[in-house]
Amino acid sequence: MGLVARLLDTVSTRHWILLAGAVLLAITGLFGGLATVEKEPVVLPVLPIGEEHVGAQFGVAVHSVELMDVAPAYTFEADEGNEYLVVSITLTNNFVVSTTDIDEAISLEGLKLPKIDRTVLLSDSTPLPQAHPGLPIDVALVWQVPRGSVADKETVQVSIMEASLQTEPDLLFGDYWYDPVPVAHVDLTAHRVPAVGDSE
Amino acid sequence: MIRVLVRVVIAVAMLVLASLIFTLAPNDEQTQAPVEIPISIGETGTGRNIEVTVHNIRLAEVVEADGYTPWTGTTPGVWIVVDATMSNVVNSTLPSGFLTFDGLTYFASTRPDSESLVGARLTPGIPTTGTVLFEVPLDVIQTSEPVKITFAASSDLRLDSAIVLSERLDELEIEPAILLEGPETGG
Repeated sequence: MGLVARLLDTVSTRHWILLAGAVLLAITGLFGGLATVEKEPVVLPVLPIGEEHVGAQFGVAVHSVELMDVAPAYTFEADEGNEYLVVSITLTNNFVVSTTDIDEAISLEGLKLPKIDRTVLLSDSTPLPQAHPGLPIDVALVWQVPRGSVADKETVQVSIMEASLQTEPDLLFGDYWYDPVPVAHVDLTAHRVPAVGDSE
Repeated sequence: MIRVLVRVVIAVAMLVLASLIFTLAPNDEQTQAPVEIPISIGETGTGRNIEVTVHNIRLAEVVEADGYTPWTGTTPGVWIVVDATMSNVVNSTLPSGFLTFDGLTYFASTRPDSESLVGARLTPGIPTTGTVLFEVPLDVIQTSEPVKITFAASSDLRLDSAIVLSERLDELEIEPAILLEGPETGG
């Protein structure tokens, strides 16, 4: 007790802070110090077409990538010089509340696409479909892309995403998912769907 | 030395007290929770801005509508079809509905679009009769636990009224198909 008391009385706050810094540096030294460490490249698994990736937010199976003049649930063609890129997936909401944030389930990172045009329930063409907990749905995710930016028979890599869950006791917004990152890939061949009346 | 120790003890005591207050203080969910008004089938519940009567609950494999845009709704689960009459009390709103069961929340289906009561704008004092649909997995209706169905004047329930019906569904028969009758105002 006497030693502790003498230390408290004689060692200044500045020295305590310096001591704490030295201890911190010594501890970080055990793990390689404070120098920047090269991050190991993460090799993500490549899933077969149609195989489900089960995540905490969604279960996702990717089925196809198609190029279309008129996308599902659309009755009009894309803007001049554009066409629709349509990715069909089966999605299961593994979380506890219904959601329409289906577009967060996948990403086409390599294509630098504009914002997604819409999501569509394939069974009845409902736009912005709800994914209810535990109920699998077949949905199409639709982008409008410059014609030719993806070629017929071109290989397209679809990334399956997983987000982090933010829990907060907010009655209006409740828990929400943020910062989705890729966790698996599916390589698919894009197919052009002939337009109605197209002789080819 | 004694003075230093006293300061440390006081600091620790204040931290403990602050943690205690933080733990015991009501959170947003508790301070902003809706005022629930329980009803049973056939009974009318009146809240600040919504009045609801649930007439019947049915189950179906397929739901159809033959209105302006015919629609056939299939599902890998089952449809819960709630026949109800709703009206606003104060001002006109788009009502909301959700079903909770075992920690899961199912929003009323938007697939029937304007054929559903939650897609219809209500009017103060003029009742609108129709159906609200919920799409759920089979296990939700195969348990003896009641499901909780909540209706509110809008999707923002904070400090507002919520009309709540708790009902067991496991004794209901699943009908092969139900034809919806679109919302009828004044009915």
